[in-house]
Amino acid sequence: MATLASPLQIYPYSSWYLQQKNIYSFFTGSGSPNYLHFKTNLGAGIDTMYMIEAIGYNYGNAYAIRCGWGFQWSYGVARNIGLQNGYPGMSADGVYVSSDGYLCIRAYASGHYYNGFMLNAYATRTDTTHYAVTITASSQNSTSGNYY
Amino acid sequence: MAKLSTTNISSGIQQHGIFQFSNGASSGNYIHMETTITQPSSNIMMMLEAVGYNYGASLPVRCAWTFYSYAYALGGGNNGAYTGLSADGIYYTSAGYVAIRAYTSSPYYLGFTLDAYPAAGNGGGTIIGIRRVSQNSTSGAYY
Repeated sequence: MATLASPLQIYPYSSWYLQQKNIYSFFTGSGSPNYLHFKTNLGAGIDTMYMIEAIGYNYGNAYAIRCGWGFQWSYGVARNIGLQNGYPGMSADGVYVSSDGYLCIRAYASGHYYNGFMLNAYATRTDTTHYAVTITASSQNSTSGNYY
Repeated sequence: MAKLSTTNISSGIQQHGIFQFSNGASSGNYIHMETTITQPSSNIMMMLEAVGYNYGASLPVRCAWTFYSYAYALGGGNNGAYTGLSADGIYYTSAGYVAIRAYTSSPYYLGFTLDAYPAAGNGGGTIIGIRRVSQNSTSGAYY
């Protein structure tokens, strides 16, 4: 059996990878608060497009998780944001810019009791430079807007 | 950290990153992709899935095509809750291959990669590739 270290980066393109799997793993045993905030390493000075996706299981509400955040991140501004949910365990709730200029994503669920998932990132534009996406901070709290 | 090109798991039952599409064109709502799967003599059951982002539509992309290549049997598209791209159809090309067709009303800066799952039985683990791709306005068979 091959055991591969995370993140699993597939399909090299120029200096980055188009599929970046398990860039972050999250788990909480706390049913509340209801919002999860993730701060990425995407800062000002880059022009990219990504889809970030959460895949997992929310025991508290007994649903699988697959939800996606699609966005263009262009020099510190998030544009054309698309939030969609494949399975109802958790919702892609928002994309925003932190007070220090980094892209953040926000998730929501009515309960997070034993909620666990991984994040995958998919770079989708090949005429510009993308990066290996990392999560630099995360928080479970009650903030429905910008937390970072 | 593992850095891989097209990745085959369990002898090709999962094939990640077999193809990538990225285009800034705002016209041509259909994307035709001709696979390496021949017809009708091959005996392969396949699920192909696109995953990515459509800037023009402001939506994530995840949709799937399923088909069985034996004796001109074909399948259909499955569009999940991500609606940035639709699995619009499957057909046989004049050159003798299976082709898949995707549709979006807004193709401007559409980007995705394809994953393949030949897991349904016949032809399990068959390595698949994309021979040709075209973005155009043809809603039927292009190749």
